[in-house]
Amino acid sequence: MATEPALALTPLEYATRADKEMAFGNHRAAAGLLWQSIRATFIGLAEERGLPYADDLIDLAKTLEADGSVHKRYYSSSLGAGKLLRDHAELGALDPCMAKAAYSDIRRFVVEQHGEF
Amino acid sequence: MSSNRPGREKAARHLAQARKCRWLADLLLTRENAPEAAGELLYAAAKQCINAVANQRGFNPASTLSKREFLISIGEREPGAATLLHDWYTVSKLHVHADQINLSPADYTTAWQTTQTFITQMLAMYAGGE
Repeated sequence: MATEPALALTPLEYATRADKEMAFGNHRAAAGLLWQSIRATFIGLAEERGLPYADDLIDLAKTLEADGSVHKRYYSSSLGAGKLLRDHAELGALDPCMAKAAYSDIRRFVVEQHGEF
Repeated sequence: MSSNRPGREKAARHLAQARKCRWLADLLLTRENAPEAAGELLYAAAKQCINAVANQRGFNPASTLSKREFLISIGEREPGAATLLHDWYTVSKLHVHADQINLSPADYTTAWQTTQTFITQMLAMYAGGE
């Protein structure tokens, strides 16, 4: 059963909103939106390639990197990092400095997938 | 004589700590069924690994932010190290989970396995620097 909310925006729309929240200093809201952008990116890749996926997206990430077209563990490490943003959005898991650093580092995955925004 | 002898001695201490923490973490998970404590210890092992490799190379990343900077720097320089930074964020989830008990079983398993991979990769880097 799906536990994650349905996607309402495209990955870029989520990411753009995330950046706006970050600019206002709302790092938990920004982290949540960037996580949604990452999640939407994975779902988009699955739909584009006709691949099945579960809520946790873990098997999908492994399938996406299995053909060797990206460097080893590219998708699974990005997904794992993205989930830290989700945890930060839900629980305030990171201190503000680490939240900013993690946001900036993990944002790169979205840029790599969709181009600069 | 090495020009970085104090750093190398410190690195060796961190390496020994990393191995002890990893051993205890495995024990706590497999024999005591204590996933939160095991996760916290495995996170500690990963941190000690970063310190060991950094000390070996003449750096001393005491804070979490400086550990991140060190991982960025080796990710830029060394092939195969590109995922280390993102993996470090996954490693951090075990630390958060120890406090918040927030990970699903599947996410916990992934975080655990990723941390083991991270540690193995850092130990290989340390061995390569000897």
